[in-house]
Amino acid sequence: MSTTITRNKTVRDGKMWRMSQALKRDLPGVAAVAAVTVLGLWLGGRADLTNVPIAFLFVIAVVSMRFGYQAAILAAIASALCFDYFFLPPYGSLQITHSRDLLTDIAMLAVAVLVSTLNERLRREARSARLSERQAESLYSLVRELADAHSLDSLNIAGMRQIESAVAEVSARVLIRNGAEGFKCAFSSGGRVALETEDLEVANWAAVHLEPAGQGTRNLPLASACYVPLVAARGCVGVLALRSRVSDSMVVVRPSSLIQSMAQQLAMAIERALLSQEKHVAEIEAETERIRNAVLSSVSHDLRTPLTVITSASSTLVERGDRLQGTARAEMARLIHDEAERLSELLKSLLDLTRLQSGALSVNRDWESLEEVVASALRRVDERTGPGTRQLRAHVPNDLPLLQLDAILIEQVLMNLIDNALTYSRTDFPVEISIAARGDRDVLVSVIDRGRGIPSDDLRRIFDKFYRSDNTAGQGLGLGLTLARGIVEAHGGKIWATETPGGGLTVQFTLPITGTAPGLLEPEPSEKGTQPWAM
Amino acid sequence: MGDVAGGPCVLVVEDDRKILSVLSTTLETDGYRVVGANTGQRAIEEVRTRNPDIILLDLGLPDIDGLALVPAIRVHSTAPIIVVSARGGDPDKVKALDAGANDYLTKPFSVPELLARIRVAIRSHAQVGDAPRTIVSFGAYRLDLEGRTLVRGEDHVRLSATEFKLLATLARHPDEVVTTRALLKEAWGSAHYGKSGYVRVYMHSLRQKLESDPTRPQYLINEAGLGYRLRTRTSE
Repeated sequence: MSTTITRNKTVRDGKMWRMSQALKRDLPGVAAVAAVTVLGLWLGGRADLTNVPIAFLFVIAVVSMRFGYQAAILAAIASALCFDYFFLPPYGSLQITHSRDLLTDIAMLAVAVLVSTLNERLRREARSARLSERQAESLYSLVRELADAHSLDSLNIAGMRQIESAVAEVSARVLIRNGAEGFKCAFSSGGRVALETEDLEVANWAAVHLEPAGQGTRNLPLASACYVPLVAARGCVGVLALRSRVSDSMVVVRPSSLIQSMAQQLAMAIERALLSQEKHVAEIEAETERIRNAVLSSVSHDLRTPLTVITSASSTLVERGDRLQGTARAEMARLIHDEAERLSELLKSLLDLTRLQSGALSVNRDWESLEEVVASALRRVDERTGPGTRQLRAHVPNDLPLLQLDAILIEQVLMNLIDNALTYSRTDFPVEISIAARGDRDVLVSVIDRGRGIPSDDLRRIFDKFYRSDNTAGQGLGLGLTLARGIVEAHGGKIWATETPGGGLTVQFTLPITGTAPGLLEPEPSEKGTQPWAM
Repeated sequence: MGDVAGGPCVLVVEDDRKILSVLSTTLETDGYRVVGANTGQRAIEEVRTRNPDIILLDLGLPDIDGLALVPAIRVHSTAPIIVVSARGGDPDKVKALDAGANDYLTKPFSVPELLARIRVAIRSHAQVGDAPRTIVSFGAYRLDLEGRTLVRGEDHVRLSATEFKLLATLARHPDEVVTTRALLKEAWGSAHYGKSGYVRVYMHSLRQKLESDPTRPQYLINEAGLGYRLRTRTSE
């Protein structure tokens, strides 16, 4: 019931609206004709008939220019009638006595038609020129925006914003469709939105038939929005839903040529984005596969070597421990211990790297002192190698600001770099760790060794997984530097390697200085037990 | 098998039988009595009935979260607890220390390290048991907790109030890890949780005053992600 009432009401409202529109258009012309008639009579137009038709023609020309074809014809008919009635004898009647007067009337009508037709054509051409200029502008800015967008999300949001600014009083949404699975997500100019069930049915029709549907079309015209399929080379990638912002049901959104062109551009952009997404996924899969193979071959070698040592040494101890001399027994035990430690480090690196890459290794940033992190890394290296066996020198400036970092992870980076440096450096040279703040931008950490170095072509590759230089016939998976790179990058820093002047390898990394670190908050030194926080 | 009757009693809470067996052999060789518990439930029973001198607690247990076990043990015993965790950056370690554990070890650990930690824990527990220490010495330094002074040899070392509080907090638990959170609470009050930057800043100035090489500290040892330790014994 309620729906019929509303419909009747809107239909009535629509009629009223149309009538008022017609009145607005036609009334001025008729009024102008009336005015000319009065003026003509007052100025004695009946005595000299030559000027009156010219005045009427002038009015008709103006009306046609200003109010269009229909108003001009109406004005012409009114003019002819007024001319007959008021100016041609017998006055007060429409009778025409002279054939000359009939000719004047016909000429007046003919001129009216001619002038208004010309005017109408001019106006149409001007309007279409303006329209196509605006459409070209809208399309151009859409294409530009779409080219700038990097993700499916940003692309669709930018697209909806452009369409809404190009088509007045319309809210636009795009429903993204995945061939087999149907619609999977929707975007408005404000961002990702939920899929509305009222959209799905008609949108689906449009997607299946590859034709506009809904409001303003021949297909399912009673829908509340106009649905334009986004057709790309691979088929329908989505549907554009346009809904009028005006609540008046007489205002209908139609799939204009502009909308269709925009839909086409959007379809191409979405397809490009989907393709690059799929390519990215494929690349990741290929990379994962490559890593898996590398891990397998590397793990089988690097894990088996220590395991072989452990198994053989321990079985020797178990089987004939009592027959071995004391030193030999101790040597076996030491071998087992060393190789077990090597295995343990290896597994830890492997685990950390996997966790870092899968995102499971979280970076817990806090205000930390790099001096402490360096100290703790040095202590742990000492614990492992025995204190003082190798020379390690650290230069940490006194006024280094606190940094937001994960102390455990950065300690790991330092340990990996120091381990590397110790492994490849000449034993008679110290390994140096040097830290310097570069303005208030970042802090540069350098780990410098004086070993054989690495061929300059390989300097970039040493951070790649399982890379090992020919110069470094060492042990362990080539994971330490990869892990270091992952951690530094997770902190927003960079890591790179250069040649140490005079030979050797220098690995440097940066850690950005972010925010304001807490500073000393009390006067130094205060003798008495004052409470700095109570002041 | 050592002196089974007389040595200090170590309760080892560990669900892996092999690790338990290795630890038992090692500790017994060193003169400790070892009681094993492979579940949290057993651990609490053993704490109640045997009254161990020290507890070695693995955080990964099958029945009870190791973390929840710390306060449960504390109900019955004040014996030092050393938590053992499998991961270096385990946040549970900090929680366990804040909940009342005295120290931690990360798997895999070396036997000398384990023995050193056990010795330190038993010794400092015994000292706490006697009378609160007022003088703590480390290297050439003597810290007087009551007189609020720090002396190096003959010289008086000037410390700010906050520096003194931090140092005193560490000195009350010599050679044990004190978490950053505990230090914050002690020096600034619990309203300042999360502002670990304060602790870093003051520890830095303490190191500048006490250590000859702040990148190779002898006394104020930082444990990344955990807290600090005041080392009073240099070779353990």
